[in-house]
Amino acid sequence: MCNHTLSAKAITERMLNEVYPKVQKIFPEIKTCTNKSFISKQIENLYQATDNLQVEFNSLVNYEAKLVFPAILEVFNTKHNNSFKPRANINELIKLTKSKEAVIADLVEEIEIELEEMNADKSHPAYRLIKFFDRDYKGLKSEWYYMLEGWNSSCACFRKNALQKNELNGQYQ
Amino acid sequence: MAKGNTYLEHNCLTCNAKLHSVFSVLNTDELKELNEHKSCNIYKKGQRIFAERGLPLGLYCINAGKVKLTTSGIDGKEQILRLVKEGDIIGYRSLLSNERYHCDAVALEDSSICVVDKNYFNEIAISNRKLCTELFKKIGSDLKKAEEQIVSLSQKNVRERTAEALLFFKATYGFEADGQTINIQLSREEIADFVGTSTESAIRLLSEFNNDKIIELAGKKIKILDIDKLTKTANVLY
Repeated sequence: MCNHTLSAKAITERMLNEVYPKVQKIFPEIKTCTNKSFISKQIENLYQATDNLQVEFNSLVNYEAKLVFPAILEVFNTKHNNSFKPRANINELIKLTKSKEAVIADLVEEIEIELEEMNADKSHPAYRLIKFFDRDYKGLKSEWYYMLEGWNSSCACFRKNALQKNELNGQYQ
Repeated sequence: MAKGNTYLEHNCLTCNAKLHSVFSVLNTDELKELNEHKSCNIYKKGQRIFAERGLPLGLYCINAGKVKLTTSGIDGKEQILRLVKEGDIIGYRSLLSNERYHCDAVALEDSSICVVDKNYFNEIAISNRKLCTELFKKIGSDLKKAEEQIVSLSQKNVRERTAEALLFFKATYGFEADGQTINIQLSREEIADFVGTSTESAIRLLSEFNNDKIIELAGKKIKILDIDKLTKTANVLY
């Protein structure tokens, strides 16, 4: 087993078990927070943007938990097994993940604009949602990508298996 | 922030927003010079900072507050291009390309914004190498963001998410020896779970992809016939 397995396991578990669940409590709070001064169209826009964000976020968590993280952890277990060829294309998985993260960032921005236009009080739960994505989520994601870069430059088994020539479509990713 | 006044005394040397801006690379003397060529104003919530089709008069640098950049869609509906905050600069594209503004800039909350003289900015953008590099980085970063926004355009629909799921499966499990069949057999329920839709919708969409010759279905096996079309359908940026 590679030395990096433990750190990889720790950060993925932190994401899935500690950080991501925090936001799941905020989504329903937004739906129950009402204020008579808000215009119904504004509330409708906010709810729609929140729903969209929840769908995208849950979808991302699903892919990370079931496909992306297990594929990356598998790469670390190949150190002493030269014949092992991982099936996953890590680069492609990261590109797909980043594409979903871009959608999430746009949706968070949309919610922020809706809140400003509604003149919502800073105690509105949607502000906590924005704070979560701006700080907890973005911070942890930066840490994750920093670790991936580190493994790529310092870990032979990660580099060997994650950046190998992709025989499936015949090109370097 | 001094409410009620439109003009505000603000010094570039002590400006906190500068730390996150392109001007963070300037030394003390350069900052003193910059300070001589700018003025600072307060914009009330909802106030327009510049208007679409207007001629650029200077570079706007946000000290505090939030600003939205918007344009009108085909049906006249407001389309938000970007949200900018403390440390961001706006209006630089029109200044550098010597064109009229292509969008409106409106304060989302009371904001303090400096405007740097047009001629001075155009001069230092070329003569100051460090600033020039920062501006290139800024342009590159904004362009990347714009491209990502084109791709995402808020919410993916179920068809896009189904195509995206197939790309995730292909990236995770690879192909069988034929180079086309995804090396995993998932039930329609499992696929629907990844997509975040009902099993019926997943069945219908896979069948549509099959009819469109994007994929070929053989029981639980999925063969990708046209990867480019699938990627396009998924609306992902590579």
